Amino acid sequence: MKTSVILVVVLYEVLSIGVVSWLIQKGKRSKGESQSDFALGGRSLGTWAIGTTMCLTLLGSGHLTGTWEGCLSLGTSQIWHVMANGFAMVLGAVTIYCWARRMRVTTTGDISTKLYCKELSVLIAAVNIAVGWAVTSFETQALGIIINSMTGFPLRYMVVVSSVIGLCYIIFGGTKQAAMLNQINVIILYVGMFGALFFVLKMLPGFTFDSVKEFYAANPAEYPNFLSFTGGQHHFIEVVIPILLSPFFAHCCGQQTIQTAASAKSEKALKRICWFVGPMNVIIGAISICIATTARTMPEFAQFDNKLVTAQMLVNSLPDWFIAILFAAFVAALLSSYGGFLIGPATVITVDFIKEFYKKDMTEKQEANYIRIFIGVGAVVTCLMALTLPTIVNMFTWVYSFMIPVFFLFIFGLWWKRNAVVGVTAFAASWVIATVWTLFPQVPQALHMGNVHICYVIIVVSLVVLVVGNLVCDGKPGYFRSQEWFQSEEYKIYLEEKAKGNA
Amino acid sequence: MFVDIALKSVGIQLIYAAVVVLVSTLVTKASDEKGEK
Repeated sequence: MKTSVILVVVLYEVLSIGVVSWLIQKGKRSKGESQSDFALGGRSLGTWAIGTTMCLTLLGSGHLTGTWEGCLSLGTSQIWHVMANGFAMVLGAVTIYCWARRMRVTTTGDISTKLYCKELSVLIAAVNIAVGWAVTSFETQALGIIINSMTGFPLRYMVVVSSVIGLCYIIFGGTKQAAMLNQINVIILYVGMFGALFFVLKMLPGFTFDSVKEFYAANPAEYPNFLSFTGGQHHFIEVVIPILLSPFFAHCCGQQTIQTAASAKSEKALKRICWFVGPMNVIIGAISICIATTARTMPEFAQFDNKLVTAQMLVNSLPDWFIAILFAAFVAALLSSYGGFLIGPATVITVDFIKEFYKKDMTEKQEANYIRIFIGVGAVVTCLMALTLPTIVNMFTWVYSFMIPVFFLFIFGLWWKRNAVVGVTAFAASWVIATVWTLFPQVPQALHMGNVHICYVIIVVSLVVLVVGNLVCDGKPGYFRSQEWFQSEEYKIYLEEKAKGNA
Repeated sequence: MFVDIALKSVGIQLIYAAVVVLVSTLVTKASDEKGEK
């Protein structure tokens, strides 16, 4: 057990969270901010805060432990999964995030209610909760892997410990706390990752990755096209594009990113994130791939599986003082994602279900308390899910596929046509097809589509139903082309922002 | 290996960002001009 490392990591997290929470409480007392700031950060965040919060929310297990595990079966082409986040954030910043902020909405459920109907909103909100909790369970597992490598205790016990730590992290703060911490943690994470790259290179002969390249080149049967950027044509179409498309669509219209975007102080501030969020994400992914592929070549760690080998190499090969910094950064990144993805579903349950159906006269304080309660419920559910230890990247690709129809529903509903029945049918049809594809693999095999990934199927089904349905059926014009929008209070606010040059 | 992966992926991300921002700016400009008329 690395006691000194554990002490430094715990001290860093407690100090950073404690100091930031204290600063926020002090600021709130002097400014008299309200409880609604818990989820929206007071709509006051600038470009750097928005970009780093969004990056660190998405830059969690998928970029660290997920990439370490994934690239040892997919090779270098795993980087496309990481790039998907950058693609989504850039497109989202100039489209859906911006439009959601313009509509002054907090949840994806709010958008779908305004565009279509309450029924569709409930369906989308339910899928968002499931996706948010699934991702949180991956973060829990990743945090468990990090703690397991420091303590040597069994991974499943460490998953439970991770849930408790994650819950403490988020329940005492909120979005603003996470945003402030992210601006510090993103620097620590970068220093840590580049430092890790340096120490790993130092272990290799000639301070280059040549020996790693030779290892994989010498085992083409076990590692085909392992160091190719695309992984070869068939691999690219059957594996790489699905691991790219699923997170891309999900993050373009997911609760976790829209909620962060809603905290932006202006549309201009939001759009500026385009220039740095992509590179900020992929650099971490590129370093992760180099470290993990090196770990697999080392005979002394051959007994560890793909899930644990990289963390074990880092802990056992790098100096303790550096491991303390690196793991403090990992824990911070994972906690940030954990917080972002756990707050999202809790907000959706509170706003779209409790407030909408049972407690319409809810005060801001009650709303914040309900969000805290459902963060607790979510932590228990995600802990139970994490205990099954799924393969992180495969699960990300599968779970995000369910969000694909939401992207098309939002784009069509905002700018083309809105018909509630068509919207519900497209969403339900995609869900049914995805469930059949998953639970009854004999069906796609009978259709000679066994190799066709679920995400392709969902894209085709949702697009066909929406396009044909909109062409055949009558409907209201797209929201931003309708009188509803031009007569709304939000439109007046938008015009004011535009006049000031902020939109 | 790191330089190879990082250069390619960062390059793709930056080109993509430039294209998205350019298209978005052109579309916004066109829609603003349409609104003024």
